[in-house]
Amino acid sequence: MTDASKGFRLLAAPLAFLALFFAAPLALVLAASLAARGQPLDWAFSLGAYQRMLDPLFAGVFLRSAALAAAATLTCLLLGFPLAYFIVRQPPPRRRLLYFLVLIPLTANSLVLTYSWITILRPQGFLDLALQSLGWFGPGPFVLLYTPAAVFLGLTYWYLPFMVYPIYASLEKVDFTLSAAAADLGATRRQTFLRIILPLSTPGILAGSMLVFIQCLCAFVVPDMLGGSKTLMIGSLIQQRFLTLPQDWPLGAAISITLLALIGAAVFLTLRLDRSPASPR
Amino acid sequence: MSPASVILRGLRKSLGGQEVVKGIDLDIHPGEFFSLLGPSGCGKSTTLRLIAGFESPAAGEIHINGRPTHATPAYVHDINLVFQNYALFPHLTVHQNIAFGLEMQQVPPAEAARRVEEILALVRLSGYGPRLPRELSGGQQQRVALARALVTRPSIVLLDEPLGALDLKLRKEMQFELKNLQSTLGLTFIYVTHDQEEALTMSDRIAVMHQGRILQTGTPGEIYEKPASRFVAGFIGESNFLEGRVVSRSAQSLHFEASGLTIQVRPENAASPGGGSLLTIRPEKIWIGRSPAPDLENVFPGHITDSLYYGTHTLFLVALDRSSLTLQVRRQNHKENHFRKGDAVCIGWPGESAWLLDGTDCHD
Amino acid sequence: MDFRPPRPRLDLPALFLRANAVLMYAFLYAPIAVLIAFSFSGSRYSALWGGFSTRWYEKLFTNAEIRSALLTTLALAAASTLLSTLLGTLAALGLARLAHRLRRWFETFFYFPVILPDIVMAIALLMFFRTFLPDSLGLPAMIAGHVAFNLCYVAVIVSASLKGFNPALEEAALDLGASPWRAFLRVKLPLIWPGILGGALLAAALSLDEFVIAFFVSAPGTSTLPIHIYGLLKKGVTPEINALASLMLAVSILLACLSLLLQKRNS
Repeated sequence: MTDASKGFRLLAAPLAFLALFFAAPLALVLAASLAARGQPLDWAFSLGAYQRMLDPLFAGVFLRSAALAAAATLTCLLLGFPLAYFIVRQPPPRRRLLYFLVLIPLTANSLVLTYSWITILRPQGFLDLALQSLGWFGPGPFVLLYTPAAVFLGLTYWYLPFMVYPIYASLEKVDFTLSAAAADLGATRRQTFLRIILPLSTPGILAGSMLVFIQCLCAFVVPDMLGGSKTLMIGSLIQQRFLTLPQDWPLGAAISITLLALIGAAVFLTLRLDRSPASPR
Repeated sequence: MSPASVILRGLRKSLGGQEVVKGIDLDIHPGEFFSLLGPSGCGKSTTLRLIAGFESPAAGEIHINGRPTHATPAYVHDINLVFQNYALFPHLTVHQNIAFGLEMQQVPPAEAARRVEEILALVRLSGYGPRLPRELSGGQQQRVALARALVTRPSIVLLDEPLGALDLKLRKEMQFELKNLQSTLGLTFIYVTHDQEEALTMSDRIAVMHQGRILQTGTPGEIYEKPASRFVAGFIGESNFLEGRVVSRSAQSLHFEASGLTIQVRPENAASPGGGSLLTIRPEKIWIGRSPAPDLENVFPGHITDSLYYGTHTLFLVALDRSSLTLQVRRQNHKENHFRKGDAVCIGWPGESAWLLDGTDCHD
Repeated sequence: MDFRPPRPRLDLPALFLRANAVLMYAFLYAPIAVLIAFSFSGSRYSALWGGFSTRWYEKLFTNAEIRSALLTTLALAAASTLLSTLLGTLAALGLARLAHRLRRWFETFFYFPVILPDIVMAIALLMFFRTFLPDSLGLPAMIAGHVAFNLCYVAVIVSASLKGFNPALEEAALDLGASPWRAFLRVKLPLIWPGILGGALLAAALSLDEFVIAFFVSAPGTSTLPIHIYGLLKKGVTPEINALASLMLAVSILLACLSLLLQKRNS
């Protein structure tokens, strides 16, 4: 038995599982997006779901989601890049520890952490009382909860490590003796950064930004808990179509498929761009 | 376990789309120390792995003691391999490493322990049983690997350049030990190396391999004195190569003309009966002196262009007068060397010292 | 130690980097700190410190609903960890044997469940089970969903630890007479088990905390702790939630740290 056939034998079970509980359900979503409305849906071919998706009523939701996602992504980038850079420049033992510390919040419960933001942002919450006692901004109350600002904050908080991860990976590969060579040739630190470090970390920046943007767009927990009914986003939209009446499974499916298509395009682009001379391949 | 014979017929193997073994035929006798010698990439390690059963041949057969084994996997064979990087199990002690094969053979623990101690004594590592591989030096790890392969008393032991990672002195010691062990235990050893000196000193017979084929099989003496091709002549030891042709022949000698010189060669010193177009003469067989030598058939005047001191001998580069040739001449340093750069000298050799090859075969 | 150009006395960029880093770590850990701190506060109004007290934790242990949710969560985590560790390890072992090109292809396939947004997975599974296996909604569906993405995480982690494994060791075992299965048990497994365990612990941590998928495929009566918290939150913030949340946080962080330590050990 060759190595490859042994390999396939081992892969059989996991692949079968994924085929059944991952690929098949997604295929079902695709099929459902092309079905008609019903209880919960009617298996007759129909493009109605995609037409309903283009309803101007939803435009506001899509735009708001895109805007918030973009804002959060940009903020994550502006905050996350310096953080990644700082960590990478530390000596190795400290560097690993600092990196792990960034990743740890990721493993904690998103629900729980989002909840702790609620306690901070709600009326009589931490932020409110703190700002009130300072007296700088007037009497208050300072309630960020159930506003787009809260969602923005929550998204930035939750996805910051997602941004740091690929940027750190990208920076780790950068040979910092290049900056010594540049200095040798008379470059200032700023020039070294702009002309050498930054271009080499572009793959990481792109990957991180795309990752964060997509995740923000499809986020459900954060907008739902921190945004309330006033700040509806795509995630909640999908959820409502499935779990609250009136149900509209095909529409929820159509939105999901569109999201998947966007993700697919983004991943494809990232892979393509990763082959540029800037990346060490 | 008595030693086994190994027969390879028409063995072929491709790796990564390239054919690395291109039809190998070999007959290895029981109890032989047989070496596969060649430069890296010649297919010798692959051949060894085919015998061991880690790869299956694309074509051809392997017979061990008459039984075909090319289709049986490695864990069924009664063959053990000593790996190049030892492959000692890092999570097991030296004792457990060596006892592993016995465990697989379901030898009772008490007996196994006894045999492990026995073999440890044989490789001079008594008392090292409880240690872990990472606590040992390279030479010690190598001996554990050897012990592990020997303790199950296999009929064939394969060795894949086992001494490559050791420094020179240790390597020479181990060569001696390995040869001793092999003849004491009477096992068949198949030894892979790129070091021709190693192969010459240890082997009963050698197969010289190049680009997936066997160029020549023979005893060390045969390979050294009578290389079958230019590659073998160049790979083993040092050689001077003179291209030319046979211009006439008499009963006692062939007359070979090369670069303005006429050289006499014994007729039996030719690889093929017709003569040949490439003369090889080893540097240590060329006599060098100030005045023309006594009774050598071939004497030529020249002058020294360079000399390299090697402690036991000195290598001179001698440019011949009346010719464009420069030959390497090796001279033992048992007397003081009066020869220096620029000196005029005479060099020469008897008719039976050169070897005539057909220069058109097997180029690099 | 690389050569750096001479620095001005007041190194603004470096200062900025350091300040930003400090702020970011504070930002990342502030909610965690607040949560844990106030779970020990005796005051009902969680924004004001009310003296050290463990009464919210005590209240937790006497709550029947929480106990049942806890059992469900533990069952879910146990089942999904077991299955995903098994399948993920098989996947990693299989991938290691493939030629480079083929391997790349399959690795990409295993990455999809990880990058897919959880809500899309959730509705996909909901539809799938509702349509074909309506009786399996609830715990079985949750397990299936969790295993689907967990096995990919395990596969990645075990693959990393396999990269450090010397293939000659397996050959040596075979050469000495061990069958492929025995060679695996006696040589390969003992050397890669920290990676496997690390993957398992991560899978457990992810499963314990997972909300979205569990929420969508839950059946009436099956509630996990995250679902329970979500329900409580819809009604309003209470200090008991602080205590519960802190406990869950502590467990997740503990599991994640252990997992990372084990992974480091194997590389």
